[in-house]
Amino acid sequence: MNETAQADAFYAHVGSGGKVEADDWMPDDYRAAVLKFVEMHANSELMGVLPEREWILRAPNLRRKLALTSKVQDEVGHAQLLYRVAEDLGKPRDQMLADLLDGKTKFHNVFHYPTASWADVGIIAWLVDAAAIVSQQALPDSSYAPYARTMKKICWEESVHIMHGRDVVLTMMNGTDAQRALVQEALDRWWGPLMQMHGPPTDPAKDKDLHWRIKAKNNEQLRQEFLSIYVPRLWELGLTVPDAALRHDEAEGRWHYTEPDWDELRSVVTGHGPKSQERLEFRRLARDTNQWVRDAIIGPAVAAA
Amino acid sequence: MDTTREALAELLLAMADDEFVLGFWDSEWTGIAPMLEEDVAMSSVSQDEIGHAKAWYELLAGLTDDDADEIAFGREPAGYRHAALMNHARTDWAFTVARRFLYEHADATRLESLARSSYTPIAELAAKMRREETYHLLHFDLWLRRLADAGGEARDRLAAALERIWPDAQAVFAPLDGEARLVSAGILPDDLETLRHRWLDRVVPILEGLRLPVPPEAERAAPPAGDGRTRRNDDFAWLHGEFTMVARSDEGATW
Amino acid sequence: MIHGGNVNAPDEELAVHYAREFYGRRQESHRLWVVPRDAIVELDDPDLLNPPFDRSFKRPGGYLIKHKLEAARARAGTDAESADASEGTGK
Repeated sequence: MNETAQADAFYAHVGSGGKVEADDWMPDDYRAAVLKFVEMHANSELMGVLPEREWILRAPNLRRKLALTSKVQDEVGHAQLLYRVAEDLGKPRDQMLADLLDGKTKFHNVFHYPTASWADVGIIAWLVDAAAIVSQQALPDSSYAPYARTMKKICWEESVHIMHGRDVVLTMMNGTDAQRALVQEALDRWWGPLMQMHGPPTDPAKDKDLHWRIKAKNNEQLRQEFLSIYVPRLWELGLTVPDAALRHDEAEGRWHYTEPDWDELRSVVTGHGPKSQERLEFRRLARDTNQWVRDAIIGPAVAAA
Repeated sequence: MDTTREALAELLLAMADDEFVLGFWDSEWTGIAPMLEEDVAMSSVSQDEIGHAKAWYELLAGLTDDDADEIAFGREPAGYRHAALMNHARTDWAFTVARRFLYEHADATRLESLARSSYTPIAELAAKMRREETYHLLHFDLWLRRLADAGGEARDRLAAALERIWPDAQAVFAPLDGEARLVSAGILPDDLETLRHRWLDRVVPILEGLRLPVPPEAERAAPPAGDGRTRRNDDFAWLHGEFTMVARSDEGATW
Repeated sequence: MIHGGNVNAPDEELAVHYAREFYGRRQESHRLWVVPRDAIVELDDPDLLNPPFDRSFKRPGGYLIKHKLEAARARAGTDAESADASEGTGK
């Protein structure tokens, strides 16, 4: 079979729900597309650690301290799982980290923004993780089987994070006026990035990731799903969603909303977000500061002096 | 110390604070440890410490009709009773490994004794904690060995860290107010000096076997300074500011 | 990937054949990994796999929000007429 015929057969296979394993033959296009998708996901988990990490030391009671440390630990774990999948597609971990820190690869917009208070911790754990899980729930059916299996584990762990986040928010909403104000203020700041998170609507006919079933739903479907589940849950707490145009159209069966600022999204994911460079620098410093440890562990043992 | 109950409270506070403060320092590694796999492992260890601290605080809260979170988060820096070993910041990986190695063995020695405590709640908690400490001991024995065997910069950093923290490590066994009462009541089955020597008997041979620094015999024989659990520094003051920041931001609020 | 079972075979080649028979003849397997038993490193220490302290904060069951949710709805006045998202904007 020549390569074109082989590629055609491959795409027919994945298009009809077939699975691909790490050591199967793949067309270069497909391999590159999966790698790009997984690498961005891995990068996002790794960078996503940083906004919340600040609050680990500041958690206001013992149980929250445990829960937040555990959540951030899970995100690191997810990064490890996803980098492993990407490594098996042929790209070394060091190279992926270098590309991330050099700005050659991206991570999701939400992780480029600052956190201002404990309320942010609740809002992020609840809504950012929820928006992520809406995307991720479409992925356990990915054509690329190692990624699909990893996503099953990740989705289960994320579901706990969302419950933790909602619990933090609920506790504050049932608390003092000052706490409620903090939550509303956090929501006001995070709503824009959340709406941008799933990305602009794409033309399904041109979306290769959809065709090759690397992912199963398009960006707009994901955003609609997020709104359907979470807007009512925000409203029922007496919170205001900072978008006057937000409403559900029964007849059309969809949500109307103010068009997210796609320029902002583009600018942020290319490294111009409020915290982009600072966080990349922080990661760079962490990597360089600890290089001696990796050299010691991964290098051959040297006879003690 | 007027009563055995007060002495018991001192003991519980000391142990809870050791676990609490160390758990906090090491939780800082979450997200930035040398390797992703190690990041997850280290985070588990930190969470275990906070879990143990929580258990001791809850036991103490039961005795003093107080609240565990209030005890944990509600004191000024001078009110904490952790060993001077925990005053130090996370510093670097070698320091963390050195501190952890010494502390895990100290904690294991302490828990082994307390598992025989005449006071059942302590005996039961100590027995449970020992089971979780199995992993901690394995983990830090491994890292001590790996860094030492790697030689070069790794060994140098480790050796320097050990030299730096030996005096403060002794403070885990610093004298406690009312210790005599606890020993005679069997609440503390072995006195702290005995435990300290037992700890040294564990760690010194391991370190000597790896040709890592240990204090000279004369220094080891001398009991730790009386302020081993009361002296504080700027690093801890900073940590205290961090961990009380949100807790104190809204008087009486529930989080 | 789940553990399917074992076969007793003198070498890798026969092990693969028998694995196919036992775990693949009904088309029930998509892929099989066949590993010699002595290549397996086992971890079964209960202290490591089942440590005794509460870890409910790592599981869904650690977050029971029913009462908090009811209280929040009551405070926001959204419980009687539970805000039906399709009927317009909430406040």
